[in-house]
Amino acid sequence: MDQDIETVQKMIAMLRKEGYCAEHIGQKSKLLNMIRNNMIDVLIIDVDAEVTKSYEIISLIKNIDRLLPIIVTTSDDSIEVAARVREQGIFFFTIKPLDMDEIKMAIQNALGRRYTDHGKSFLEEFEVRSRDDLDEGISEKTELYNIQKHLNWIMAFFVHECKGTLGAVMMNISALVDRNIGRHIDPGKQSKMLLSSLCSLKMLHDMIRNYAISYIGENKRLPCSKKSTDIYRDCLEPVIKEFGPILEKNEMNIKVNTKGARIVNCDAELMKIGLSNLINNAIKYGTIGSDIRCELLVNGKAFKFSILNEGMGVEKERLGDIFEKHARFDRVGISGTGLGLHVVKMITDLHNGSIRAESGYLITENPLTYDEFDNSRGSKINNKADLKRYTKFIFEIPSVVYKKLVEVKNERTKSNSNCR
Amino acid sequence: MKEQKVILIVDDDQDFIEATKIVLEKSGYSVETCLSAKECIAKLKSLKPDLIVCDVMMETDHSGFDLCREIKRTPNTKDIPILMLTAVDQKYSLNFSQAAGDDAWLPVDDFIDKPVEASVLVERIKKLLGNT
Repeated sequence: MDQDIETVQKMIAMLRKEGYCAEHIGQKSKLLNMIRNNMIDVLIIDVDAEVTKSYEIISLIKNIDRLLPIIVTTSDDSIEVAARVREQGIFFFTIKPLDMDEIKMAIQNALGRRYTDHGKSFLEEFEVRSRDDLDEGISEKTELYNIQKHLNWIMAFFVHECKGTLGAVMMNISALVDRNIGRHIDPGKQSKMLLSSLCSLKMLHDMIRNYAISYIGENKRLPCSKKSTDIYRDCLEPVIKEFGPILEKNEMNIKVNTKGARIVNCDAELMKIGLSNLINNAIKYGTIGSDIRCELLVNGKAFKFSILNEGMGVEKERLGDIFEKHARFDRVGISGTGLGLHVVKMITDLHNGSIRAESGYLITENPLTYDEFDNSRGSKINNKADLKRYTKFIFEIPSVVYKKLVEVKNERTKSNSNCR
Repeated sequence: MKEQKVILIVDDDQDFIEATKIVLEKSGYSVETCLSAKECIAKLKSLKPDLIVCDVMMETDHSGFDLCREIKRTPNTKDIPILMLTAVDQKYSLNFSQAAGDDAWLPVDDFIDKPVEASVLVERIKKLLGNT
């Protein structure tokens, strides 16, 4: 869409020679109709032209097809125009006179981008479209609807995460058993490769478990059999032990501070899963070589567990939706399905408890939330990027069992009176 | 002495990078690594590897695709063979192995689906480097 006819003709001839179907459109309405009918793969638009000079057309186009790659040409080489055009989310921007080889390359890349963006769009809209399709034939909240929905989810997300995690395991194990490669690997590295594989498999196991728990939980079928449990001995200690290899690999330690009696009325298996997910999260997002601090407090009213890790922290605005299904702090380099904290919330709810997240800065190892920090010395510090950050989860459930404590007290009283 | 070929691995999975680095070093290659497409672009200004092994999903869902196109359109790097190694095809329900080599869609020289056995990776790399 360009008013400079000579340039247009030259470009069309070049593109047709390259095998593209190229056409000049001089009317805004015709252009928008063609985009609506999905007839354009790449759009080259001249913002100097009368019909397009207001830039509004780019927004209009983006509203119809947000993935359509747009190449913008102009004779105005001012920074203002460049900034204004680029902020519209265009694919490529070039100043006249046009370099046809550059345009050719931009079109090639734009076509490639369109292809992959369609893939991305397909993924993003997969669940929505599946739900829409299902709405037509299968009513919501039926077993079939839920099964289909979960199958779609597996296809779109879970398989990728599992395959990614298995990538490192397969590479390590296959190298160790390969006669040509394995024999050249020294014992120290062999141990590291096995340790890494074990850690990946543990992560994979937890991912599958969380998927199963969230599925069952959403269908309100997650059993919760509460009984008096020594929360440290029966839950936290074995879970920490399970994470031994991962802690070793990441050179991390878990420091536990316990206060009060340790008997809690809870479902021990579910509690182990909840604690496991919190610890997993602290390791994944924690700083290599740092300590994870846990506090376990059982008093007359509740059981309170908190876990703090030094690491990338969580932005204040995101703390509220951190327990949502598939919420992720930062995906880069960290595998996972974003179900761990969602499952913790589910388990907390089953125990009529609460869980919250806080984040902020570690000042001489003391945690200060973002608000606390800003209200104190924070406003005077210019470069917050250099400060250590932390994330903390505080998990609390009511209904502590006194029975055992009472029994212990009675037994003591009994034995004391016997002594007398 | 025969000069070691240099392979650059670009992947945001640290575990996978460590495992693959050991495998390729023990197979006689010199290995450099990057955890992101951005880091790779910076590294390519001072390093010209003989081959790049590249993941897809790093900073974004498609940063690997963008990186490959950037490499192939830059005169200094366009001749470096790229082996795309990722678990992404299932996610997108697209067959990328068929598209590999098509410069418009996926400008890479070969494509392997994760997980992959060490020996398969080494064979494919040898083939791309022309020393099978």
